[in-house]
Amino acid sequence: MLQKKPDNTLAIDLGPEAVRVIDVKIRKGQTSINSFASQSIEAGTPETLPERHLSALASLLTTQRFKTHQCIAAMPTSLVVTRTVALDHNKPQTAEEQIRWTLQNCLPFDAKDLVFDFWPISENLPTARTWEVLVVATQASVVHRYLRGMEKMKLTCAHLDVAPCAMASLIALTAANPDAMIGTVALSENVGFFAITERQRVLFWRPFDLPSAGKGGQNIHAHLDRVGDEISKCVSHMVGSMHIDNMSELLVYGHGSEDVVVTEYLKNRFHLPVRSPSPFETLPPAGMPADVQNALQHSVATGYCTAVGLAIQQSGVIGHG
Amino acid sequence: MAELIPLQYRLRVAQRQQFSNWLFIGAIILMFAGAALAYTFAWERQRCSEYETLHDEFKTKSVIIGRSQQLRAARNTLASRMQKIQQLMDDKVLLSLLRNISESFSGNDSLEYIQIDARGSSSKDASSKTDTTDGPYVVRITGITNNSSTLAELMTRLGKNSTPAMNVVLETSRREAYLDGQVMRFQIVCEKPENKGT
Repeated sequence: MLQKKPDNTLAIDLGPEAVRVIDVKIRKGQTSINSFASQSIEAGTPETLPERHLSALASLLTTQRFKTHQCIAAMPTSLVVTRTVALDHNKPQTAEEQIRWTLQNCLPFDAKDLVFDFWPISENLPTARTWEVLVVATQASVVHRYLRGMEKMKLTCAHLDVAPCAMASLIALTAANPDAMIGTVALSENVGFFAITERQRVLFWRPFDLPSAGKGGQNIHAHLDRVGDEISKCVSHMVGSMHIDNMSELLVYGHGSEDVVVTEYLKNRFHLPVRSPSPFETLPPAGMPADVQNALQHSVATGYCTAVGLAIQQSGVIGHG
Repeated sequence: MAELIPLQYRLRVAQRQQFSNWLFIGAIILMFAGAALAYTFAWERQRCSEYETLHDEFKTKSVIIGRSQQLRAARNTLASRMQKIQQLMDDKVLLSLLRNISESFSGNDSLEYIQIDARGSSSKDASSKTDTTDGPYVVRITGITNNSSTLAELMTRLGKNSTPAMNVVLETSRREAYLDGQVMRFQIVCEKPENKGT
């Protein structure tokens, strides 16, 4: 039959410790979940992360027998570089050329092997000399490794994003006040990131490591101060460089987010409302089969925040970039 | 959202999708063409089989036609023969000549060979067919008799009793030995007398 845009899509979160997949059906803007599954990735060096991701994904596709061949994916933040770049109206170079010129001084890889996307985070006024954009950059060779690996699994990747941007769509539907500036903390066992979003647009994010964190909720308690310090650094940077300090609430997802100690700590430290909603709450009840609802405990559901965000992106909640 | 897929990959995917679409359309067209060809082939086979059936029927009928033509030709031949026989039966000159000649021969004479050349009149109308006296005729008689007297008597009888009348001319006569005696071998020519105008 003639190929039209398929209704079914695999939303794949290539997380730092596991690959999480949601098989979603998007019809007439309504998202419904067919199934979900996750697979831990093997231990290894950061250079082999794409191969370990693909191996885990192949294992998932084999065991879960997903029939969907179109996918959207989110790369891990550890493989992505993000910078705020000020673009000058008066320079003869295009925005892309200015970004490339700026990034080549701070990239940990060859500037020729660069693929990036950007979006404005400040108002682009004709009267102002500069305007700021947030740039997300990664190695083109890494992207090609992912795409080639997915092609071998007969998957066509329609969209490759990063976790904070995927979650921005989710946060827009979850937040009490979607137009306000919202802080998001996503935690896994060893890494996490703090992101600030406003109207489905990521203004800033900062990844951080949790070196000695292990399995079990109690270990995150020992690193609460580190998490808090990282958030403080981000807030300080925002206040200093972007002159914004009006965050309305803090949303916590991922490992340890269901822990009351964590939410209470963040609430007391930043004097903000802290919530840990399930990402699946944003979906209509009709979009969640009973068996999926029963299988989704909060500790499991919160790990799928990026995958759900990707699915929401596909259903028409268009973000930036 | 950020898009990290390079443009080349997106173009390649779009091209592949377009190619698969065209491939599908091509397959559909090929399928239709194949079906049309198969239908045409089946139709042509059907027409061929009908043609062969008609050809067989024609051959069968042509044999019958040939036989009827042969039959008609044979019938025409037979009709012409019958007509010839009828003409011969209707030939009174010949019959009367034969009757006269046979009546003229006596016990002393023996007929060996007779040649009658009787021709009908040139006109082909029905009356001329019945009236055969118009045509010329010549009768050559070869035979033997006892002697010259019996030969003379025979010629007299032929000349007098014949109807129609004919001129009797002795062509040759000679004596020769026959069995234990002598006979006279003769050859006589009888012709239609020439018409004399009044």
